Amino acid sequence: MASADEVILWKAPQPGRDSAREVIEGFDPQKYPGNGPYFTTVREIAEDYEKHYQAGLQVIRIPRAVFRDLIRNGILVLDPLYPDDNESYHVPPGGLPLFNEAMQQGTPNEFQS
Amino acid sequence: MVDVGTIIRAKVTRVEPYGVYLEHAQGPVIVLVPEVSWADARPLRERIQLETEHDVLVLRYNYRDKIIVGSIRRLDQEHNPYRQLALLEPGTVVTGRVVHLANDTVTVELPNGAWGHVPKKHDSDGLKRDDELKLTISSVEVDEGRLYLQQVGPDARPANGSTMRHPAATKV
Repeated sequence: MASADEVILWKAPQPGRDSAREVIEGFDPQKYPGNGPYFTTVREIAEDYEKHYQAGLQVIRIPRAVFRDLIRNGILVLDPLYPDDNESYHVPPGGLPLFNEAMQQGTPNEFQS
Repeated sequence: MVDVGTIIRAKVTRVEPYGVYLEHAQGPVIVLVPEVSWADARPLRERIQLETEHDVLVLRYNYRDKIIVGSIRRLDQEHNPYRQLALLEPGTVVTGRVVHLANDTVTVELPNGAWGHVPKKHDSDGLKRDDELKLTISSVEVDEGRLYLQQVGPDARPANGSTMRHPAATKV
């Protein structure tokens, strides 16, 4: 369970990913070209994708202050395909090393298969 | 500029696991995978063919990428499981199978394929995936596909005695 000072990022991985390892070791930039991986702060959005991908759910917890820094520094980029601010983000591949460090700083992450 | 809420006819130009790209006279269109269909979970490349045309409901415009964001499934209300739930009498007891337990909410799947969320109760610690819960509907957002439920006691019966029927008896 996330603490009150954490933000949860949800992700429904596509089939074929090593999703359990990703929540522990992070996301490989070479496996996420283009816009990089996408994450949402709204569980229902992630589950909408999970219903179609049928490949589980990744739960990533990041301290709130670290999350804000990721946005300020352009590591987490708003996804304009969702209408409300702060619903969906992506991490361009160049920012993944820093993102991967950030995801180690909160309550342990999970993969729910 | 296309008008939000209108229906346009567009042709498929590209199919990705996360969505379908189409072309329309007023610009490119994307339909993300959750907005393609209500229940068909096959990979998009198995069910959407290039060059086919589809009616798309315009949801919004992505100004950054200059692309229309639309929905195909919202034009198929006959197969919308959330609409079926919205027609149930208040207090109808439905059964949900636990799909996820995370934080303070349980995600359940109903017999007609709809997913919903149930607040965890103080005695929910023993819950596990595939457990079945008896639930009533708190709210349903039909077009968005959002469903919120609450647990009832194991012997609860609604005032009118109705329950959600097995999907074999209810055409969705």
